Amino acid sequence: MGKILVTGASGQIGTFLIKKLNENKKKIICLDIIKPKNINFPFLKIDLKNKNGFKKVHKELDDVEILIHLASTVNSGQNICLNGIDSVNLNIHGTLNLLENLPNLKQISFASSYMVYGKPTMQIINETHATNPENIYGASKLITEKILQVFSEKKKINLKILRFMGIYGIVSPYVKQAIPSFIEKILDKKNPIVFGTGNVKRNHIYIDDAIDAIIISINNKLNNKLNNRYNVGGIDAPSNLELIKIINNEVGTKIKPNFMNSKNKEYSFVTDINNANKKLGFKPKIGIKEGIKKTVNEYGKLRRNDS
Amino acid sequence: MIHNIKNKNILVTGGTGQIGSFLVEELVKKNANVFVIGRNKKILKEINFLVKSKKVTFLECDLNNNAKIKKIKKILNEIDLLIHLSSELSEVKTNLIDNAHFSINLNINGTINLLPHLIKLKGIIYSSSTAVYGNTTEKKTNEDNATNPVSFYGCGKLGAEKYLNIFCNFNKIPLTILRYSSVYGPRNRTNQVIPVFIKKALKNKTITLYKKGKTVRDFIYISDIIDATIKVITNNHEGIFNIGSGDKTTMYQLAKKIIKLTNSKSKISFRESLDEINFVSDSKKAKIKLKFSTKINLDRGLLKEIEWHKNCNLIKK
Repeated sequence: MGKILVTGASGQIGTFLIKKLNENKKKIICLDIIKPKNINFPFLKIDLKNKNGFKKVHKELDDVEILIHLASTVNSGQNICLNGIDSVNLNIHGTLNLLENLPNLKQISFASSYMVYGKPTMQIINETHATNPENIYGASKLITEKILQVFSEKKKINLKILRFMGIYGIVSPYVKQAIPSFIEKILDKKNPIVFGTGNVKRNHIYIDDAIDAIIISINNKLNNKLNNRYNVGGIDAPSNLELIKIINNEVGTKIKPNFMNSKNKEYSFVTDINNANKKLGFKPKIGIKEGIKKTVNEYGKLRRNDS
Repeated sequence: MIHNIKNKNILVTGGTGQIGSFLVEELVKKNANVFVIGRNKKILKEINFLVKSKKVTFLECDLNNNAKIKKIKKILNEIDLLIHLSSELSEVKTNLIDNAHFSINLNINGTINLLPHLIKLKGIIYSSSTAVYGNTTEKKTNEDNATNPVSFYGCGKLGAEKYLNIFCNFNKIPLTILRYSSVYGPRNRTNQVIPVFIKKALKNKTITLYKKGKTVRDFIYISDIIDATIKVITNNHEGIFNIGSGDKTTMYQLAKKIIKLTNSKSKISFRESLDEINFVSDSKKAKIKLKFSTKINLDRGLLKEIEWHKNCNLIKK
């Protein structure tokens, strides 16, 4: 297998991914704007937005055959006048800058998101669902998918698009999604905040399973250009109230949530992962109870270290 | 959307192009205050007389240049309706990636740069393209069809649709997206098949067809496009509409027709390779909701475009 380039290597998924790739003895090269901690891989400090930044690293990128493209803005707001341009410049133009500098590329795995779909019109969403993103993040991911599709077709590159559900299990002060915020509040013996009724369901995916999906996708040579989009989600689809119950059980508390009105209408979002299962052989292994247990333990460790 | 055009401040981007110039004339007739954004005040083409007679205000601005946009901020602040035609250009750069940057900049960055200044906006009409659908079959394609563009041009158009959609939802502004089929008629300065075939036929040069001339397209005459667009402005309809004739025409039929209508001695030759996209529009939704129907058939429309090209040649001589 040729050399693998991981963009967004210092990000939350990237950090876990390169650890795993290291265990698997893959030849990799990392790219990010910040150097990842404790790595023994070649690292390129590059801002994808900056076309000229690539000039000095031509040689290092020459023999890259596989791209795992994680680098992205994270803003999921709706006011495009504030953050829209950043998402276009990094996610779309940045991806183009990158592609231009990978002359021997054969394979791409792109980390996309369930947010490309927008408001669900099916109970369980498969890859044929309409794509009408409701936020900046979803729109930039969708258009990046499209340009990768056009590019891969023209250059005969094997493209796989992984549409991830929300990933949990990452212990970081920067993570603000539902699961970590509930865990932090409950560990602090405070009431977790639930927007809306708390009944909306999501098939959150545990970080190890998400990493697994990426590794499977680069090892899989299947090249089906009409069917190369894969939903990647977890086994269970708990509601927010169920999540709070599971966390309470794990911590040994009975803390009730505080309900708040939500600005936007909240809806359940459960993706059908059959396609990834059948075509790629992806099978998530960590159920929500086990995943929460692991995550709570990690937060516990972090706190003990801090104090 | 505004029902009455009279005295409304309407901004037309790409107002010097084929669709733009005809639309601007129509809006002026209906007594709107028309503003046109374009990159070069020296190339006003058909709207020159309207700008000279002060019936239209021309704003020289590049939407990828924020400093220049800020200079016309005061006018932008007063705009009621945006008719965003931006570009009829497709692939202009020779390098694949340069083309992609160009299309994304023009369609997405340009759109996002403009929007923050339109603080009184009450509606947007965006002229998209059926290129957003990608490789469709010979069957008619409707608005619910999957969008898998096969060109960066199509990606740029689709991107603008998606970002506009988020903007309009967030700011509660009605948005109409019109996906035009292949537009033809006078003032067609593109390198699309019809002008290319006509120019060849007028010089008795051989017309080359790919894929045995079997590729099908849906051609719609410029005045029908203008009609549909005016209907959207006055009839208050949001959403996505295909605007096409719904008639299948093969490249072979088209070449034959043009040769006949120009009394040309051109021959037809066939060549392999080169991917061509089949597209036939299903415009039922526009028919029902906008009460839109095409009025000019292909023969009549082609004659008008042929006349225009002949006149252009006369002027050149």
